Amino acid sequence: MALRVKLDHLLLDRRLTLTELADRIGITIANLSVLKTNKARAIRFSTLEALCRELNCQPGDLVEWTPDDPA
Amino acid sequence: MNALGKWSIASLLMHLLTAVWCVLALVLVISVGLMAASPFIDLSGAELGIPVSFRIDASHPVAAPSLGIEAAQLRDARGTLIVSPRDGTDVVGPMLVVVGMLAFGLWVVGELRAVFRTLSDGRPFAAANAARIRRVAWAVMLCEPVRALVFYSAGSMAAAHFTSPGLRFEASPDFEVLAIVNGLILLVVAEVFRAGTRLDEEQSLTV
Repeated sequence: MALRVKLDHLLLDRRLTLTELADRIGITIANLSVLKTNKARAIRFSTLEALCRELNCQPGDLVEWTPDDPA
Repeated sequence: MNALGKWSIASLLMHLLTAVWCVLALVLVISVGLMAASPFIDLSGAELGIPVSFRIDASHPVAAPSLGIEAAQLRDARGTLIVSPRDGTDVVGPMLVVVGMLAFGLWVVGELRAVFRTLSDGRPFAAANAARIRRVAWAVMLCEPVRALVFYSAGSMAAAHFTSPGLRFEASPDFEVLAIVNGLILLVVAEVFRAGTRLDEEQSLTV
């Protein structure tokens, strides 16, 4: 997938665990794990807003676009 | 009463389909056993039903004097010709057809039972449901010409060999267009389920 969620990097930078972040933004660990492992098909604005607020970052810091490998 | 979930209409239908499936399976096993044994057992007193279409000659007038109707016509008459098989080998062919129809019915009921199990579990958009419904739709549409052919063959056989004063047996295909329409409706329902499954999957992967 061309879009990659960089949640693992941000969690490492902020010294937060997935469980702590899930508690803070009020979504389940399972859902957050789906996001972290790049399995998510879509992200709600409310979730994005909560993530940006708790991680103190911009949406662009969370999501990275890379061109698909032609091979 | 809810349509989906535990103790719902779907659950009731699932149990009903399970009962039908068990009865069909039992009848199928008995039929296969009878078919295999028919050349070797005494079938005196047994009856064989042949689906037939027939026409009644004008020598048998139909009227309703109390209604003031003096002449009416009986058309598209259908019935079952009951004969006693001469020996066991007479039964093998019809039994093969019966076994085929039972096996087909068992498979269709099995597929429907699987669909209704997911409905009674509250998971209408289980991934396999669309494929199951699509398979049943195609089976229903393909089965109808086969059924019509079997009835036509039986009618042809009756018309060629059986006679009765005042009656004329006819070979009629007896093709039910409604079965094809039902199959087409099921195909559309299968597509609705496929779209629902995709939406459900997307919903489950939306964070």
